[in-house]
Amino acid sequence: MLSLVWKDIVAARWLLLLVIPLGIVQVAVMSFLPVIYIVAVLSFAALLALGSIAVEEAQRTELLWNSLPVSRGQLVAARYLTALIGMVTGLALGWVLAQAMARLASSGADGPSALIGLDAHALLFGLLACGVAVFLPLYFRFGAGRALLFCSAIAVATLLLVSLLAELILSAKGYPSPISDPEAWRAAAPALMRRLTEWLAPRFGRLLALFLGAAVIVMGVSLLISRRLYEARDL
Amino acid sequence: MSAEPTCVLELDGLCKRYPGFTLADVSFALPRGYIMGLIGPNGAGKTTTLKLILGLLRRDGGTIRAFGLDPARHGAAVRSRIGFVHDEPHFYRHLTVAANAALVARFYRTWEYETFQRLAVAFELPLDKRFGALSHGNRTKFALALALSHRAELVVLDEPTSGLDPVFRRDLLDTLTELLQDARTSILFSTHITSDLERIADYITLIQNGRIVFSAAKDEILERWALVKGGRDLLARLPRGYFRGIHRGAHGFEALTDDAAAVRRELGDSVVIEATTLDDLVLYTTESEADA
Repeated sequence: MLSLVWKDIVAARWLLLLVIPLGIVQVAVMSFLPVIYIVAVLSFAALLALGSIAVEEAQRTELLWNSLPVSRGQLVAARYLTALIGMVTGLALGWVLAQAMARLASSGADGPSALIGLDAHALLFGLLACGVAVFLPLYFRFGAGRALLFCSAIAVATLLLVSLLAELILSAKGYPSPISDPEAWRAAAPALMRRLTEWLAPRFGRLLALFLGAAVIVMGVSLLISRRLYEARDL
Repeated sequence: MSAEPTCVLELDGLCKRYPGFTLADVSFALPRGYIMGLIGPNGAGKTTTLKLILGLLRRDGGTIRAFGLDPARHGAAVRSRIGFVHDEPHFYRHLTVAANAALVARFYRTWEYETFQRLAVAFELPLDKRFGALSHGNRTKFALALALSHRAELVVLDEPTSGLDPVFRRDLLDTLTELLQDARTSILFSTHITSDLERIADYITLIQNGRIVFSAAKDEILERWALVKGGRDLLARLPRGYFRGIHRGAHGFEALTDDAAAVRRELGDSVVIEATTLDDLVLYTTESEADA
């Protein structure tokens, strides 16, 4: 199985050449636009996690690896391991670069210091793991192209659902709607954020641990589903 | 401990259904140390059969035994003893030939680096060149060098000679014949260039529209099957289905028979009976299907 992980790393190692300079640029501007750091580090980690799939799809090597003395189960397990290594590498790289840039720019205190902490990266890992857990079974069932399409649709639907749910909860709690009454929302938002932070701060560690645990379980279930789907697929 | 089976490959009643195409009741056996040619027109089911043997497709019926094992259940063990060349070899285009070979080599316990080096020299493969920069012929040569570098007991070749120049095709056939000297390696060779098989194959399996037309020793086939030439008036008197495929000309006909001895006995001097080629077999049996 390690040979499969190795071939993924060898195939996609040039992605690192793309990630590192872009990462430096992104981290350099993060004190001004913290949200960019989150998007950038998530994108880079996802690229490292799933880049080998893109390479494989583009170069049509799937048939080759399936013709070698490896089982479908090993191919699936190796893909999850590669994704895990890619995610951890991407996030670790982001964290190291963020630390370095924050120190160099002496802007750690003014900048998004909370974003460059290990907690924040653990949270990003959990989010990425959930994304990967959804994408990989679709990939093993339909191939990369259709999986990307379905995954994008699922992501958009989830965002819409979450925002709708949040608005319903806020409305039930008596908060003004940011859409129908933006003026009142702007006035109420700081108090809401303060309350939210106060509620979250003492529970953050426990909630994060729960979330990471759930993400690991989701990954495990996803692996089992992927294996069944791939074993049933004709190549 | 059970003895090694005498046949490296046995297919019995193999079925695979697709919308619009069915591979049905495919049965043949390949004894150890022999070459079998799998011939048939495009879309006949040759690649599907080979993919089923490699465990890349799930069968809908029948059995496959490769080295006595079922590829659907023991895929990795079966594939470790098979060298394969797909009709379009795909490797990492941005990596060199040597880097691709190193990646593949890691999967075989029986990998022989010296054999690969020897074949790379014999095939004039540029090891330091990117795979994407190779010609189609060189890509096939590379795939073939890999297939022959891990002491495979069964070599499965899917149209390996298409797109290759005649000189390399001759060299390839020589290499395959050399391989058989140890009487341990068997070769299943799918091709539409039947002249290659006439030279080296011991057994021929003709597949047509997903069904086996015949599977037998080449000499037996070329002895039994023959090309029959005669006048059109004679053809009119013969029952429908007497021949397996008919070409009608202005003055006469040419047809294929699967029982040359019977035709000689029944029609005597009223027809001319000539030896057939594998090309004729594919051509006439395809037309026979169309006639039917």
